[in-house]
Amino acid sequence: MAYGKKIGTDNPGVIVLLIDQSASMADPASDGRSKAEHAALAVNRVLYEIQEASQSGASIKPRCMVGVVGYGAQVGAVVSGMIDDLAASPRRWDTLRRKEPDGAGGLVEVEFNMPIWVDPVAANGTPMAEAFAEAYRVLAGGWLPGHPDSFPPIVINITDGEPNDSAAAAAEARRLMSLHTSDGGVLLFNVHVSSNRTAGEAALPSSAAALSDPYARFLFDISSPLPDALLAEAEKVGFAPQPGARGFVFNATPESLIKLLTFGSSGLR
Amino acid sequence: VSPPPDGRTAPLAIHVAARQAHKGGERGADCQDAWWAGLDPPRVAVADGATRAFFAREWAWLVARRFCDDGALADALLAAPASPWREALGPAREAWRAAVWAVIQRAPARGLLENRFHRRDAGITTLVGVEVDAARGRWRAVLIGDSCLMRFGRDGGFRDSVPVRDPDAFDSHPEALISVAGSARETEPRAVDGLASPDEVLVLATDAAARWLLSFRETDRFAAAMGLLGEDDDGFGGRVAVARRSDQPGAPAMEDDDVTLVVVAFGEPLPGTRPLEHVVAAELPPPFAPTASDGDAPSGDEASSDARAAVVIPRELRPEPDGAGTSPTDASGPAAWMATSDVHHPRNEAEEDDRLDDAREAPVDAGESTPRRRAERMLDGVHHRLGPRRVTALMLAGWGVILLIGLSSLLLQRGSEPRDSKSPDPVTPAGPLGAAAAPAEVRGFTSILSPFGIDTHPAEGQPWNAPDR
Repeated sequence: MAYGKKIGTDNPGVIVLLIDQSASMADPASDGRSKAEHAALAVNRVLYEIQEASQSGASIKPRCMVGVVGYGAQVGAVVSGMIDDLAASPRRWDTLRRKEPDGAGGLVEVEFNMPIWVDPVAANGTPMAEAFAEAYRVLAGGWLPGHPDSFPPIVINITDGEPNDSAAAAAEARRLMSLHTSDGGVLLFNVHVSSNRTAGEAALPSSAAALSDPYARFLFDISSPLPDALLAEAEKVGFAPQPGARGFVFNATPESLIKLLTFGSSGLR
Repeated sequence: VSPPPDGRTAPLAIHVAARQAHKGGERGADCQDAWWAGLDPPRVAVADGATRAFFAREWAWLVARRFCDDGALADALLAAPASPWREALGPAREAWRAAVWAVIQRAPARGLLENRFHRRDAGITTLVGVEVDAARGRWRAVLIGDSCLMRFGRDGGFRDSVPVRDPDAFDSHPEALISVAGSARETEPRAVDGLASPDEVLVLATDAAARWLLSFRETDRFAAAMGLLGEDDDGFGGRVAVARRSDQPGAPAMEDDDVTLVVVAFGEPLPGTRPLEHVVAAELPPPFAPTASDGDAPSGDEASSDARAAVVIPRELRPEPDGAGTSPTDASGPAAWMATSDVHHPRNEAEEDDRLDDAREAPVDAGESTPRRRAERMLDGVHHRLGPRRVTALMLAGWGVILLIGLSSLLLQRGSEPRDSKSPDPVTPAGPLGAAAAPAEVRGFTSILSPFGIDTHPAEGQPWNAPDR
């Protein structure tokens, strides 16, 4: 069965997160925080959750490789490494106070150590094609030759704007999606974060017909169809995918951004 | 003391075999199952730690061991639910909590662990424990969760399975013993007993094996159990792998989960079993050693009995000291290249200027990029790999080198463009579809490729490709 390989320490998976760091990411999202801040928050959170899921006693099981690529003024790795190594070396720890269940039906405020690997950045244009090319180079040149039978790589692109060169971005995205392991092709998911509070969200659409925005159709076209094996995972996080659904959310709210990242990384948990 | 029901005058001999295998694609250190055995009185226990729970493997081993070695706990559990079993479990919970906290204080990913500790995340385990009164020819058992106790006749006849008899009745959230008091998931143990006659064979199994055995026809279950057990444990992992793949009529493939199987035979041995005394003396796995990750001796009451370290159970089927997974020793596979794989934060100081928060709030923290900070990062990495004792020894020698590197870096930095004088790039307000493109600098992602010996930009000398620590 395609996309059926189990991810484990002897058969690790890989996830590559591409973050748009163009200048427009400084614009506020629906809650006033900038889109860059939301992107960084969501990525830090999903990395944290993958680590927690990989924890065994005091150690983090090396169940997956993580790469975060930023694209804006530059295109390159923001952070990369096996998940256990990432756990030991965040950029810094932020101390937050969160309310947690106290076990007796109430809430208690506790200190929470939040590891920070990714900071918000916003500058310059949107070199999305180069980011896809970078992911291709990482996977084709490094990961796939060493892991030909692993669960297929997952690439999640977080963006808010039209690429510098849409045709080149589409070509690079298709080249990226042509890569595969024996268990299936690379999965490319796209999430478009919006500043527009009233824009309608399109989550995991199964057809481009309902997407009036040409940019939305562009992202739909470069998003992988969801494999049957992952439909249940999408439902678990609150999506309602129809047959033929693509891994794509347009005009995503901050909550939907986190949902897509949670869904996209579900195999690694 | 009542005489044995079969008229014997000598205590029954007890023969035991224990086997364990981990999930496919994982390693022995990842196995969350536990088993233990004790002699006075004879006890055996099997526990299944919940994979996603907090220090569940350690909790499972602690519970299994304490059931066998701690008479007060065993007595309370075996008399449950009427007994004060919760109070009797208190010392085990305290030992778990103290051991976990000790581990956290020395762990490299301490923040993550502290979050879960303060959140009162718990270890979760099932338990099936059996105590034998060899003189009276009786056994009694405690059951919590879906680890099963099966009874067979020596002729192979299936007699019973508790607490689960229907292979379709297993689920992923069984009842369990919780390492933190007051959990809503805490459930009452169930106690059963029976005759320990030479005709009786007991099989203790964690859920995957129990479910698989129960999926056979009743007349075939004993043969399936003995076939899986085998005459030695060397091939147990292979037999489990076959069971996971098998497609026998009436028996679905075994679920890919950790597997523990313990067989107890009274009187004459069965193939593969050994006298309980031998198992206790020579086959018990190393105990839970919460501070062993850096080579220190185990602490507390879990530190004894190392002399009984396993000589029969294959290494990959034994629980390894906690933290073993952080120092991979495999010569091939992921561990080999992980050993050279560090985390990379490849943005250099100039790129730091692009940080949105820096542009809005504060100047760049100059300390982040100082030689001292780099030296600290380097030490963090060494500490992670070697543990504090070796680090202490290395530090004296290393400081000289580090200071030299630091002074050299300072001199180099003073000779270069002062980065702090560069104003951060202004955050350009732009429409949602992006601003006009500036040429993007494309840099290699060699931090992933380098473990494979692939250097995509050998001539560029990118500063962020150098390991941070």
